[in-house]
Amino acid sequence: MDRVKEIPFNVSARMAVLIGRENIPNLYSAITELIKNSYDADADACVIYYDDVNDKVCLFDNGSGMTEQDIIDYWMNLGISMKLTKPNSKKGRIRTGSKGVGRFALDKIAENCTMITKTESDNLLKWDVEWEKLNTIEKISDVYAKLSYNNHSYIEGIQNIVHNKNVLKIIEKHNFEIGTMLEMRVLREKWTQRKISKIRKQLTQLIPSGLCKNFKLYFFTSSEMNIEEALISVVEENTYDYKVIFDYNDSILTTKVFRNEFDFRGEFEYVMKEGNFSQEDRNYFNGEPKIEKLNISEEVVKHLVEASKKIGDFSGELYFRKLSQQSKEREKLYYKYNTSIRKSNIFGGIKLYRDNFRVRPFGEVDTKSYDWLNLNSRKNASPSSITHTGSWKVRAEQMQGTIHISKKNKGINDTLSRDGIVDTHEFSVFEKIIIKAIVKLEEDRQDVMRKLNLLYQKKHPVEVFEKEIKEMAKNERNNEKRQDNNQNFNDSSTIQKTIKLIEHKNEVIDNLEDENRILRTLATSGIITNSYSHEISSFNSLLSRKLNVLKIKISKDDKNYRRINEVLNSMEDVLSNYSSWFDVTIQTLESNKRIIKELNVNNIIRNVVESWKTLLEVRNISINYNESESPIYLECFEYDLVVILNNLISNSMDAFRIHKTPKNKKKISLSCILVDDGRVSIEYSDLGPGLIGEFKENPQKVLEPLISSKDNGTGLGLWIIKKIATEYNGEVILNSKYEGFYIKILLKQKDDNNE
Amino acid sequence: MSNYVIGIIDDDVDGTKDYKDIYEDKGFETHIFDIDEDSIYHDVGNWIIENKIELIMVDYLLSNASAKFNGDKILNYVKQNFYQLPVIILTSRVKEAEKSNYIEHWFIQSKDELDKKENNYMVSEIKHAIDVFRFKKEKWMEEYKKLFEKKEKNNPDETERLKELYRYLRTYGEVDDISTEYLNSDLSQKISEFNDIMKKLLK
Repeated sequence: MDRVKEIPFNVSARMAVLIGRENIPNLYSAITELIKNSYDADADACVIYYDDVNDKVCLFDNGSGMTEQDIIDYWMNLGISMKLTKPNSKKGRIRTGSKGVGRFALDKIAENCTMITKTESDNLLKWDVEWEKLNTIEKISDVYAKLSYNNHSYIEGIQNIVHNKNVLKIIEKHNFEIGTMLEMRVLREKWTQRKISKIRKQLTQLIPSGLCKNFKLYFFTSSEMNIEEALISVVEENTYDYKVIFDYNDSILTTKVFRNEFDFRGEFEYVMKEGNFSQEDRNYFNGEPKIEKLNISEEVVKHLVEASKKIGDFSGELYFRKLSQQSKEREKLYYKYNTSIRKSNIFGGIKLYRDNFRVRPFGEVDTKSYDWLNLNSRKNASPSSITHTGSWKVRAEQMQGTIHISKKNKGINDTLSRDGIVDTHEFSVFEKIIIKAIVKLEEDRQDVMRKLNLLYQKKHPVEVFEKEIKEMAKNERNNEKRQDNNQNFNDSSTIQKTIKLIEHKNEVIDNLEDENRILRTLATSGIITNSYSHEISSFNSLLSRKLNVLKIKISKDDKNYRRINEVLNSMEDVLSNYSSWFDVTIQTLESNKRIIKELNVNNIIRNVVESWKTLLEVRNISINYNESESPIYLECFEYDLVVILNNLISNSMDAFRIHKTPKNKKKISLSCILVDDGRVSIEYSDLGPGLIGEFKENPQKVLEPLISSKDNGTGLGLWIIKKIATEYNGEVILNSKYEGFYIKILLKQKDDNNE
Repeated sequence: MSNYVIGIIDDDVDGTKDYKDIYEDKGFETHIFDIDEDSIYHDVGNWIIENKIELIMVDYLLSNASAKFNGDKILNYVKQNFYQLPVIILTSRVKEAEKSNYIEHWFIQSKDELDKKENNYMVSEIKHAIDVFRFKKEKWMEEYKKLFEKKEKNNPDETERLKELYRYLRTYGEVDDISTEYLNSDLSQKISEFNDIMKKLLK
């Protein structure tokens, strides 16, 4: 028999890096991965220190630390998560975290990384690796990290690396006997002020306010920053739609429901009156909580009454947030425009804290116990939509919060078995009480939504008719099928005929909308030409005059070449103005601009500004485009963006001319950024007269069609912009208090998620 | 026949250079008035007299970048202080000029139209207008000389007319500066002396 060779598989080091980089898309993700690791390790403090002087970042916590075996078995084993092989640590804590990608966050941030870590049982351990080796060395198994012990305490280890006195004050505030510290040197990206502010802002939304008591995050971004400034505090207002705070005391459950979901956009009085809302409702919409009390002993079945008295007092905060919203729903039900939540967020779920210690695995992402209250099965049993009959229920992914219990709650047995079921009476009551609090939230929200829905139907009866007709047609078809008729198919009922008519009308409307889009672009070309009509008509006569002079000079053989040159130059200017006007009007209609595709918005804006520069210079108007650092992409029609800008610039030009704006105020500013909720925000302003007269009081009016403040204005410019924004699920925001004209246009991808 | 002298008042420096070339080529002595924010009507008057300008073309929109007044007001000033001197508005903003209450529409010429047609027909109009102006001045001079010779015997109306003609001709430097007393007739002289005596007596 032939000898059998055994050849091992190889993984190139580079592959590991690529996989890692794919899993961590940007700097913010890298940072949050590391923060999650700290939280996972039961830290109550996590400090990120950006050392701008030495260009390095330190991240340290006071979690449980890692032993040498942990490092060898898990930290150095790419792709393995502790959770898969060892769900319970020695102390019974259950680790979470998936795919073991946390350490790739380090690669994203810097070229070199040193880790020091201290557990309760072992000495301080130091771990060093040069990530660059992963680029040069072939096999990943040939890449080594250095591991060494020393006798220092963890605090001494920290003090060796961090010298900033402000940062070190953390050690006085929290217990740093054990923990893990990462020192990342030679940063891969420049940590600009802008980037830092953005990250900081995103971090304020990472940790739910309920958890802030138990997990403090500090972000030092300069050598002068002190602890108070570094502490990331949550801006609660933007992070929930509904909140219920409850207290269980002596068998009485007190709930406070806060409505934070609605923005009536100037129609508050109308909605309150026509929507049949009470005086109390007005207060609730203005931030007052709806307070109710419930005697639990009277609510539960007999055999649980005793348990309800035994479980002791406890409290909690629960937050509800929609995962996404459609613009139509938003208009109908007056939703605020909020940023959407990230799914599978380690800080999500309903967590349980006993005496400020997290009790796992309640609310842990990617575990059976994430939905320990069984909210999803509850939802499946009653899946009604909120505006229909039948009670609406929340889904687990929409909820997050914290429940606080203490040692006094002896009756609550909080360790879950493998299957996550607890079968004591006390735990049953405990769950029921929390569900009751959630029910208060659900009932209030449904009540409000139903009223808003009725109001909408009152305002838009036609839509309701259309829906009804479609329903009737569907039922009729179903009935026919059931009766198994061999009726003549051409013999349609009135309902069927109506449906066909509606479908035909819809098709006609779609075609009109397409036409409309093209006409809009043509209209803008016309609008600009209208503003420029005087200049454009003069191009012709200017050139004629110049030619006349040239003829005279040349025919006389007048050796005044300087003068001839002068005339030729001024002719060139005329021609260049002419071609600028051409660029700004006719070029907009080029066919490749009429197809929808993903485009770099920065480039488009820059091109538009360039094409206007000559025309604006002639009138001494300056335009400043503040471009964002990173590119912004939007799936759109190029001409829609061009039309928006052309209308705005044309308006500014007219305003400057009509109101004889002095030269130092003939300035236009333009910027474009990507906001947190994924929308593209274009801000445009000028220092001209701004909105005047009635439009100053009521800016929205100027967005209506055929409204103009100019003598020969068309009244279409701003209306066109509003129509475009609406098509892109966006909005137009004016600010009449600005010293000049200010407009912000928000645009989103044309597709929208369904809830 | 001496050279026709025309004047142009316009704040478009580039344009005035072009027009100077064009009209000089046609044989006109062309003067450009340097208008700026400090200019006053009196400056225009001095410029007309110094250069012996016989026809003026004024742009309408001057207050845009420079002067305190627009071309229509200048036209008005010239008409009041320079009797019969031909003056027109030459502008590219005809519609706006027509809104002015200071000038009738037939004084407004479109620059754009003229530029396109190489200003040719304008040339003959200008020449004719200046011819008319010169003819009028000749007629005044004839009448003035006649009345001046018999000034002692002029009736009051004729004395008035003599003084009037004197003023016109004086504006254009056609006659020397003399005291208007000198133009009075004996009869009117005697009447004024009588008036003086009566005034003294009544006091």
